[in-house]
Amino acid sequence: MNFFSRKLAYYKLNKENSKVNDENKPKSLLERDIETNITKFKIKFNEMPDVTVRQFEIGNENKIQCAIIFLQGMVDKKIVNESILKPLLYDSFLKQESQKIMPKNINSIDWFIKNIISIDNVSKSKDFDKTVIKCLSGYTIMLIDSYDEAILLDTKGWEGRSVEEPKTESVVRGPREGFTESIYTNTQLLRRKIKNTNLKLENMTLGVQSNTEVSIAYIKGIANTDIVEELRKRLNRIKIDAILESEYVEEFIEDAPYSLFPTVAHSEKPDVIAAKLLEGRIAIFVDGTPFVMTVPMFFIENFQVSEDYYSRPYYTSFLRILRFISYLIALLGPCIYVALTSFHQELIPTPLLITMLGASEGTPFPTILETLGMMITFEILKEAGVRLPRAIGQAISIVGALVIGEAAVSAGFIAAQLVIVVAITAICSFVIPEQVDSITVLRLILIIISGILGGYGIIVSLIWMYIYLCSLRSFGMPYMSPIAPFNLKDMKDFFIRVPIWMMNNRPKLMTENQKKQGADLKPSLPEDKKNKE
Amino acid sequence: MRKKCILIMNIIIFLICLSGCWNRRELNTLAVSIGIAVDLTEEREPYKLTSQIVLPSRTEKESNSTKKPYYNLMSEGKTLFDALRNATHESGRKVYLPHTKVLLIGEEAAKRGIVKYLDLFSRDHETRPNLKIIVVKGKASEVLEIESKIEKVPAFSLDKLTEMQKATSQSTVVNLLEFNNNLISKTTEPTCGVIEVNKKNGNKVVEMYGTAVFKGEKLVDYLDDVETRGFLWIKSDVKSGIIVIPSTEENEKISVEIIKEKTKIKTEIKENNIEFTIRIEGDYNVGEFVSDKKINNSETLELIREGVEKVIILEIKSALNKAKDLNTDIFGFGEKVHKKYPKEWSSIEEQWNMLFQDIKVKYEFQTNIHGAGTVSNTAIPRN
Amino acid sequence: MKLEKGKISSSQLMYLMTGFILGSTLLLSFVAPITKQNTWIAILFGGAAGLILVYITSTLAMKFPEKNLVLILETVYGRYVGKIISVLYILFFWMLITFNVKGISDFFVTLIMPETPDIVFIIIIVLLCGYAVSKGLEVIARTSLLLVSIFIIEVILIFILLYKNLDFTNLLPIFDISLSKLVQGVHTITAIPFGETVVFLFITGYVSKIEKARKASLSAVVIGIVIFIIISIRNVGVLGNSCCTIRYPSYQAARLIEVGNILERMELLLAISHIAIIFFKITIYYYATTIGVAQVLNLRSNLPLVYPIGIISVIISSIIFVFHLDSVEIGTNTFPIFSLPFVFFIPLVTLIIVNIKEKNKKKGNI
Repeated sequence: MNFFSRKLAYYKLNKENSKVNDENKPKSLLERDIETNITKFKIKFNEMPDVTVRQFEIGNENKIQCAIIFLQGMVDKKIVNESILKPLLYDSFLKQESQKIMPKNINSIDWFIKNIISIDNVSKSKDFDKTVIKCLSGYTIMLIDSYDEAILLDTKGWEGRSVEEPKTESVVRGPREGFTESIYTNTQLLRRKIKNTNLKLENMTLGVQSNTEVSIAYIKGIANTDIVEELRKRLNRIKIDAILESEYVEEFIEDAPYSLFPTVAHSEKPDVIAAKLLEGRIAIFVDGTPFVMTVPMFFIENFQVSEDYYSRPYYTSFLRILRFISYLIALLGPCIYVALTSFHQELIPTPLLITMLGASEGTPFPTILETLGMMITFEILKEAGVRLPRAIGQAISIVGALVIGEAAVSAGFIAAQLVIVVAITAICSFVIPEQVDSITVLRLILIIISGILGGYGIIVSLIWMYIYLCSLRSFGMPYMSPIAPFNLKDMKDFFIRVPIWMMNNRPKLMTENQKKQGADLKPSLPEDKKNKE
Repeated sequence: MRKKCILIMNIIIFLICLSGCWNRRELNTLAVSIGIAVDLTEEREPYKLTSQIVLPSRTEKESNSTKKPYYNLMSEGKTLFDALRNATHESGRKVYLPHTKVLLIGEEAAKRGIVKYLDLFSRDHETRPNLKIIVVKGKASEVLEIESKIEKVPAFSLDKLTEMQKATSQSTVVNLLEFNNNLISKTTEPTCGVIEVNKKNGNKVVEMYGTAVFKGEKLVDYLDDVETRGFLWIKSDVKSGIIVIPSTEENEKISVEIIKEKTKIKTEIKENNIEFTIRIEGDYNVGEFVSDKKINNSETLELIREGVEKVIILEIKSALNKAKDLNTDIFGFGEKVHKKYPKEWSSIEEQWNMLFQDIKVKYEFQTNIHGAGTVSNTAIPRN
Repeated sequence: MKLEKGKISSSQLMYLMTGFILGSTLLLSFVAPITKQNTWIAILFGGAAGLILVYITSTLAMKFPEKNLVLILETVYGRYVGKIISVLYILFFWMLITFNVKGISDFFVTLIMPETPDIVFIIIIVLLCGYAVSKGLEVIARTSLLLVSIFIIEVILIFILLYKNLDFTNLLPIFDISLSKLVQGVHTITAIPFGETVVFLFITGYVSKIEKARKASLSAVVIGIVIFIIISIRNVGVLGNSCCTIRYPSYQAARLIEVGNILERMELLLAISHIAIIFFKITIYYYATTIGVAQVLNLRSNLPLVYPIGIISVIISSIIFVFHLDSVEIGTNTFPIFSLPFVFFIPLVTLIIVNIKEKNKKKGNI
């Protein structure tokens, strides 16, 4: 009981601490005196040598003290030098003799913004903390003596990756742009796909320590406003140290936190995100990662690749079905092998059985152990292939695996047919895009279950998984639609991909604004006028 | 606290289930049997069972020549199941039945009553209903010793032999399900295939032709190849075969190949007589035509047709006569009367044995000769 | 407090009911020794009687939207009598859970894994059904589509594959059966697949467009009749005279498939679809039992009952009869008569009382 009471006290203490952090701290504001402000900033930016404070004077008769504060690596030096310092110090009419003279009494700082500052994106703030965060985000803070507001100048510019083809989703035909780590570039890439005022963006900052920028994007009129509201609520509830990748956000907003199947989709390509937005989904951008999330997610999205829509429908329908079959083989291959050879040998055709008997003659381990061992070895090889430097990685992966398999067979560790089963399983597991992680765990569990109960175990597990999938919800939407609540109209993109002129409607559950395009768009030959006459 | 109790209970229940995989059999604990032979013995136990177990070779390199890829496991017991289990006195592996293709029953055993041998295979969950039943003239276990030159394992060669019988349609192939159906039926008598061991050039060779006829569960007699084909004509089971047209001239040889045929039997009860009209619609090919006659002649075709029909009638008649001699309704005529005249059947059923002797048969034919091969007239010297 | 907050659509109701009716597929072999080759006739008549029964129960359910059986009985008969009848019904359904669980476990123990003690199968299938029940009615309805489709596709596929083994003359002579045996067969078939749909009084109330419920139920019965007739014709056609002696005719029929040399040994497909469909039937009974007990005891939710009812069902299933030997006896002789009040009389009487009350109301209004 001591253990439990200690745990309880610790838990309560943690709760109080987190409460303290949540309470609103008194807002600190800027002062009128510039020196005080500069000192405030210097204290805040103590031990941060990359913060530069540049003081200067403007005005010809009454010299007004100004200062700009910026972070060295985060601002575009050219803009700071050319667009802030140069006009104010050098080209401004204030220093030279000209008609324009600075008026004597300037009431508010707006005069400066309207007349002097030559930066496009300007705002002002009295809040000290907000100013600090803006400075850390690449803004230049301009302080003017005797005004208690600071001018925030957008001078963002830092080294970042250029827009290039994403490594995880390469296509043969289709756009090759991928998102980058900067949220501004990403939203700009999205805007280029959907040039519509209905594409709304909402910004927020998450992460207590990291202050990462997060944006929600949706198309007003198509997306479901309830889901948008729910998403906002969930995002605002996140109180975490840092958001380093969209996965952090994903784990907070999921409907089913323990589920093996992802309920939030992600992608690296703007055309994919644009297509999903047009179906009524909502996208979440996270600064610092090129992976953009979309909610809600359906099970079928695991199998949809952007290239499906950029190639001929018959071919891509075939590929889609092939992906399904590969998924099943990848999941069920080893466990069916174990079940058939351990329990249901009567279901194996006789010639094959005799060959298998010969191959299994000298093997020491029961089939289930062999299979488990080989699958774990395969996972180890896969992981090693990812970690190794590229040159060696290639050599190890395929050739090494096969050689190891052959050697194991000759040494008498495993039966020869097991190598084939594992090889086919491995290849099939690479056919389905992305979501490979859930298969790995499920596969191992299934192998164990089939080793205990044979075919019965497999069937019961499959039904169990199916019930689980049907009960999953992604932001309130049933995960398995259009199969689970069956909707024939939405099946146009499930097993096969019908030609685009047939896809008239958006998914029913996603949005009420269903009609997507006009009817009767099937291409046909131009009417033969001669026949008509 | 309550959740912990429930969790512990769950774990205990699961552990009970997991504490052993009762039905798990590794591949190297199986003795896969391909064929089983059953005999009566006068020794200690009355039943002798021989299972042919397949021995797979470990690698391709060590196959062939010296080592045999099978071995025969013999065991005895008071009943057949007992004999099957007694095999474990000698073998470390239990006999695995689902891949058994043929069940060979010795003549002596069949004469005393076959049901004792079949019940095990009908009842066991491992055996499949398409197990082929064959009676052996002689001792069944001998057949499993005889190796064919082509197949490595005798039971496989027997299985392929049974499948090839449709080329001549002069033997019967019956599986366990059909045999049981005939046993259950009150009027139809069961039949099954026959194998005999002959000596050719000093070697023992297995040959399959003919039918074994049972009355009830006891083997009574055999039909030879001609009678068997007649039997198969009636059952509409002739898949292929050669009909040799009888000819008066010495050097004339005409052989016709049966492509496919369909038999329809009409049942009629006329004035206390039961009459069956057997209508055979068949497609044939002339396979061999060594004759002076011209083949494109309509007369010749008519002659061939008549010859075919005569041969068929002869075969059917011989089958019918033999069946009447043995007083066994192997054709299922009783069932046909039952199906067409259910009301009268209740009174007829008792006396079917006698009525069977008096049934009348009429024949109708539709014979189509499709072609005569790739040559029109025979290449013989014409003087 | 509403116990079941979910809503299902009328097409989901149709699938649920079809799956439920088809779940009795193993029980067709009960009737075979009695009706022999005329099983399909018995199915036809039994199905017709089943249509009447389903009409009665669905009409009754349509008059009480959003209410399950316990509430209906309480409304019609008053609280105490209603509760007593509800308890009887709940015991009836509970008993049927145990029968069906034992049935599927016996199927596997006899045919596929004989050395495994049957309690393993029992525990696992009860766990699976308990899991489905704990997820709620909507999830059960969602899974119904795929599972029922798998079963129907399997039936049709095996029928097509066995076509060349089929001998339709095995079905003759038609009507060569004594009237008493036919009536017994029809009675069994009416009671077992179709009569037990009285359990849907727990479910039909939650259809969102309830006026479509009757049509959905009747179409489910029609689909059930068609599939059952296909199954029985296939079994009799393929197995001939042995159809009455074989315990699991569908399985043995599937063993005979030999198309070319490729498609052999297809009985795995049959085992899969049988588990799927019987899981369905047991889940619906389980759901009805938990909701019924929760409603009678005025609980807020049925979730805490899932586990205890499951454990008790496991225990009872493992000690009741050796399945086939006794269950044929029960299925053909005892059960049809025993279930008659639950399946026929009480719904009929309830419907009549409701109609009389409505007429009185109308008269009172005038």
